[in-house]
Amino acid sequence: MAFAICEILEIGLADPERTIRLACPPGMIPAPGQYLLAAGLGADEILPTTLFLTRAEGDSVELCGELPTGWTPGMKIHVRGPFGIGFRLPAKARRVAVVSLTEHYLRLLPVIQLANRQNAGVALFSTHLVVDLPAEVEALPLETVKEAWSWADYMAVEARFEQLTQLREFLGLRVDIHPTFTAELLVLTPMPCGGMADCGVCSVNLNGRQRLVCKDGPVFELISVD
Amino acid sequence: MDIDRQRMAIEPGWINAAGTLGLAPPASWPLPQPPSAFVTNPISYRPRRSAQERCIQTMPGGFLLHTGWPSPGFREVLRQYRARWARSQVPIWVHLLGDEPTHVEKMTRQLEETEGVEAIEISYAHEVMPDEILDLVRSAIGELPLVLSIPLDRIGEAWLRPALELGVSAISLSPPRGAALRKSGQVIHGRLYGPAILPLAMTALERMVQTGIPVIAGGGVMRQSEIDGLIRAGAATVQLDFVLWRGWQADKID
Repeated sequence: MAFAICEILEIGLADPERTIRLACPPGMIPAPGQYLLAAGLGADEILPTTLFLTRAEGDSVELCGELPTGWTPGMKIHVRGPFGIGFRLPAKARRVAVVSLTEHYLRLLPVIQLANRQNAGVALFSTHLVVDLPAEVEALPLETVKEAWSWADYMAVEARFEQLTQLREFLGLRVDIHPTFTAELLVLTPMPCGGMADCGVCSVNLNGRQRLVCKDGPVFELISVD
Repeated sequence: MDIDRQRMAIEPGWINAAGTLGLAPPASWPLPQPPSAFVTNPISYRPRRSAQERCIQTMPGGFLLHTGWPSPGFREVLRQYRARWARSQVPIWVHLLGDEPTHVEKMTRQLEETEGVEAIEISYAHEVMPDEILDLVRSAIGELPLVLSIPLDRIGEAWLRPALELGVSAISLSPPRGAALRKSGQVIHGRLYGPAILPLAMTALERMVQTGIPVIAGGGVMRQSEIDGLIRAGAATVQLDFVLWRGWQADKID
């Protein structure tokens, strides 16, 4: 784990979330699905904010998260990380399904970029209006995601912890069906300690065992989620 | 009354509060200066899973954390971490989560033989009755110095004086418990953290230094200058909690 004090270069809006562009040391740029923890140096927020990669551009990165309202361009923030295990898009994947069960697909954008780079076809399934999507990506309503199980060779999903009990329903995946390709899930839940404490507040049941989202995840094999 | 206590050397500075840095010292410390001791996560005799209703709820001035203190169990902790404790550059204080006196006694005896362990800190589940706390403390008295962890909301309780007279070497002040309303209207209980706790911690410190037993202050510290203030107010050292996860807040000029 590395630590740095970084400057906020820009704050953007990707309704309803916000993005931040940071001058970030190269060794601290998170991989898709990994995260950083950040807190304002002179700010009043008490817990660190979880930031996921949106895109890396030159010597700066764009990240997204529920940013404190007090963050402004030019401000210095403590940044630690990168933490956790991210998405592992197979190099041979050519038909990639990306599924967002949240308000925005920003955290999945780096997977889309990676897939584009390896000339894979990408379909994004979402319940929300999709804007600024790369032209190569097909946007589809979430209700049609069950079709992806028959054509995709990789799937990346993001969901909030509270949605996990209904995950198969959302994804149109019957209990007796096991994906024949790699399907991964980014679990979104508060991770205040970033794996430093094993505090357990982010624990999730996987294959009958309690695992920590902050350390063992936040990306897991989809099929392992109970 | 002359009470037989194990003496312990406590360096002023900082140590981590139980539950903030895991079960063994990390490869690198989250603050520039290393702590004067490393306190493990609370360790129960038997394995404990995270609470079913685990949650974190932020509120003005802090947050409520409910985890259920998950623990792999004493035997598994020793198997996994005793070698790292033995290699540690800083003294290890093992935090025991007391439930039954027989369990506490077994763990205490084993820790006395464990390299690197220089003290035991003990806490107890909030539902444990006062006479049971006394039994737990009695069970943890032995060859290692014993630090009794006292939540800030319990420093006025009657069991405390007899507990201290059992031979406790130091007192550590730990987060108080509280309740909060979730958006769903459900009431949740847990430990309270945040800068709003600091005035409570200061008051508790002023009261507990009068016992003559070394007091490890804790609760709500966000700035380096607050450590100095607590030391000046009589703390032997200061336990840090959530600030280890977020980094120091810059000092403000009064």
